[in-house]
Amino acid sequence: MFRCRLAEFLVKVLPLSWARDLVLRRHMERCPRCTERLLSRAEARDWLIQDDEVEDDPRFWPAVRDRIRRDVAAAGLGMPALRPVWQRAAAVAGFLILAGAGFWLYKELGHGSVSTTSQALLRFRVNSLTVGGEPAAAVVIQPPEPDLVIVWVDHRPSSQ
Amino acid sequence: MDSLERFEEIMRTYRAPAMALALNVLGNREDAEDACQEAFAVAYRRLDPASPPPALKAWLFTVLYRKCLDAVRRRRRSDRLVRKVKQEAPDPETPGRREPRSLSDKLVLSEGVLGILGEKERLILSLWAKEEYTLNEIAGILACAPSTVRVHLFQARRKIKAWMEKDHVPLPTR
Repeated sequence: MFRCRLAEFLVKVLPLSWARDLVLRRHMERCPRCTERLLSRAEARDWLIQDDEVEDDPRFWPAVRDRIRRDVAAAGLGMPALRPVWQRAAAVAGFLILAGAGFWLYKELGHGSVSTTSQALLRFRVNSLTVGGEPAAAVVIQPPEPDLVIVWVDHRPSSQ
Repeated sequence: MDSLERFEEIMRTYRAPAMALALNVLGNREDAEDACQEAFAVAYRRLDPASPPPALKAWLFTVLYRKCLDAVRRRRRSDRLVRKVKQEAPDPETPGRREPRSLSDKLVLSEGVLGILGEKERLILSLWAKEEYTLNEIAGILACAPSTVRVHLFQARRKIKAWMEKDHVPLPTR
């Protein structure tokens, strides 16, 4: 009797389902006194609605068929859609393709979209330039070749 | 035979167990019909009738259970009361009333008994008692651990037995 009460108490208070499951398997489902207090399968079946007790509404199942046919017609498909695992695979593949294409475009075009002057400015800044101790003007020219920068110096001697 | 015809064969085979399960979980015909209709529509979209899954009935029950939960949420949101079947229903309060003779009787009596259980407990009890599924099979349908199923089943069996003993209600005879 004490064990039964203890088991019942533990099933109520234990927070983890595996622990309650252990108590149920070890005691509640083996002890004759405790199993008497449980509904048996046969008893439960008497309360539950059985398949042969379901009274078909003659309009219901044709309506379900019509609904499915309408869904098929609306989707324009004669076959069931892809199974969820293939839908997920297609979504992941599509994402990877888009990400790869975006990354490639960024690499190819990301720096080329900057104007020549801006690019030269990004790569070079001539803060001051002197020729023969006299200040000179500089023009930075960036040809298409990526590793070539031409700096044109314009110097007019002050004696001229 | 095209895929729709194959699927209609599947529907003919499983519509009675599906409706019975939905009625046992939801307790009223209207919600059960909604759930069944949604479940079969979803099943058609996801299933390849030419090569159905090995445990087709269990898979259908999984889909149906999700739709039953949707129906419960809709019902709670709209605060609908459980409706009785349209057939003439007996007075549930009659003390001498013990033996359900029709579906409506059973639904009315079931409201009292199954009303003390949650949807998950009702589903587990139906699958265990009526479909005779093992705890592992039920766990697969509910996507939970078998230990969780055992605990819910135990609670459902205890609650109904305690209710019956308290109200001194003998079992309905068939």
